[in-house]
Amino acid sequence: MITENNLTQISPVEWEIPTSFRNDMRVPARFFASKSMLSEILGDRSLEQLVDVATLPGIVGVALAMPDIHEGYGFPIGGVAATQWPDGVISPGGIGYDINCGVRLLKSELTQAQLEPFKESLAQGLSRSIPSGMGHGAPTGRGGKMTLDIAELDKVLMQGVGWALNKGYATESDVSHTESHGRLDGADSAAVSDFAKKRGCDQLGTLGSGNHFVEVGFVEKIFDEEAARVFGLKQDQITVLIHTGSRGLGHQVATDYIRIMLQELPEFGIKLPDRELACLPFSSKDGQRYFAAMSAAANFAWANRQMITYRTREVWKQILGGDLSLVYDVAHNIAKVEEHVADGKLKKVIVHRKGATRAFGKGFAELPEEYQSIGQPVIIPGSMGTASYVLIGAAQAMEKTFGSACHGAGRLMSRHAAKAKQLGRELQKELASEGIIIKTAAVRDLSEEAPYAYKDVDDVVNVIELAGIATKVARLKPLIVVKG
Amino acid sequence: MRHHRLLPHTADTRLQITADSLEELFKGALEGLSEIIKHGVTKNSSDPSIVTQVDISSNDRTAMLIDFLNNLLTKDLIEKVVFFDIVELDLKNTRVIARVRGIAVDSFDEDIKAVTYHGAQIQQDKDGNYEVELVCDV
Repeated sequence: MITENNLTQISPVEWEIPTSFRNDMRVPARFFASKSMLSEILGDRSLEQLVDVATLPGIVGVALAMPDIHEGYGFPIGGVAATQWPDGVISPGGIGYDINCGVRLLKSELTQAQLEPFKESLAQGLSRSIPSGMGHGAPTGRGGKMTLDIAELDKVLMQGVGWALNKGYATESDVSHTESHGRLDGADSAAVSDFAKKRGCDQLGTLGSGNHFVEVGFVEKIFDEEAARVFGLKQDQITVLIHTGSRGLGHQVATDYIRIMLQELPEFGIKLPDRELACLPFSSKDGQRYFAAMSAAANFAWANRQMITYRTREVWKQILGGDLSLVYDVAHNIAKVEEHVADGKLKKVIVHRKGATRAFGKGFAELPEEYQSIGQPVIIPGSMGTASYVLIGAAQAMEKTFGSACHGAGRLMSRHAAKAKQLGRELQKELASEGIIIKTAAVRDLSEEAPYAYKDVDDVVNVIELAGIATKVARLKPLIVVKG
Repeated sequence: MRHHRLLPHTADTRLQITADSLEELFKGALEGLSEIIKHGVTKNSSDPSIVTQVDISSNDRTAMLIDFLNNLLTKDLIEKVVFFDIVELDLKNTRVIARVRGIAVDSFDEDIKAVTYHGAQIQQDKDGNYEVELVCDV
């Protein structure tokens, strides 16, 4: 059990568990939190999990966690770890089962007042057009299903958002405003199992369940006028957030490769404190195959968010007229090969982000031209009923966190406990009284995602800003939530 | 004798299974998983008629249990069937062969991404009873 006595305070919002805490730690474990957040963080096993991450072969710098840290399996959620390229390990548990779960922000030209008369019909239209819930396939427009054959699915896996562009479901601007332009080069559809493809073939354009959502909101507050202008965000403007990932296809890729890696651990002499940290050297045959399969699943996830964008735009045009343009799309469950300074040297590393968002500062060539002078948008969805944030990556993120920030508010309460606290129907009514329309296929499960089940997103984002990782641009408030 | 129950976990679902034999532990774990993805399925389905075979090899029996459950979970999700009733079970140290029956469903109640290996270890007490806790990613 880790207590406050085991922590060394580095700054008002940075804490470290030194390597002396446990003799199998290769690097220190460091996390970001305010003093008032400590008791919550120490209340579950998330820091023990972070210490486990610090034992991974080839890990460099420090094992990191963001202020939205909470207990996961293997890695904590909110964890970031970089391993030495090419022989450090890659661990599917450091990415998670929902590969490239992520979020994108769209902006409209409408204000709250202009939306108001159409709010209910927009909520109904989005709810009807975007499949959600367990294992639901995707409609092709009106009722039918979009089921891809294996050859077409392979194209999605290889091309990501590029596939959607070729089919007319995306614009060039969508591609340029998506992290990695919506496609990882290392993808290989042949590394994805038949099981995974079968799970994914009818899930493109679907939200899934749990904390996935489409949320229509408005810009409640601007913190940085210049950055907001560059991102095209204005006070009172209507926005749309889309949060989902790679669905069953990504889940199966993780399941397949964790199993393979566990069986090969003895061959590589790797001993781990938790099987869920299963890993192999990145340069090994199956390390490479996993990276190729994970990249393919990441491409599927980007295409998935793009297809939901396409359907959202269709509904938007039909009900409101006008268009929605993409501000940016970020992944928060992914591994990437990047260059960072670690242990005093510039190194090529494999950065694992599990519930963490890339937060690169200005001058990063991959960013859209208009963003290059200020930095990457970092999109932090809160819980329904609270707020979400748009931040901007800061220079210190590169020095402190391998260019990473938090990914959300972070769970505080188990789904079971959250559900026991309030009936879904009551929560729906309560949110309606605050002007928030909730559409969900499972009202009884709604309170699993209640605001009280999450940390205070304002506190989480304030820690990120105080740590110099990213700065606040705008705060968004929800008006319509279509819950998965 | 076998029994399963849900325990608290911040983000996911923790399933505890106890049983008086390893065979019963496998049966209890599959029933527990099936009840999460489709409430009441093990009690309300009197004649499961869809049959599947499982043949899995793993490094040890804990991994074997998790691999067995994940194999059936994958089949559940692809075939829209809940396989919950083990009718034949051949357990060796690192290999499990089974024949399992299930029923077709229109939808699932919970989206389990996978049964994880996190912290899992099959334990046996002095009376010979087995216990394991499994964290399911939801």
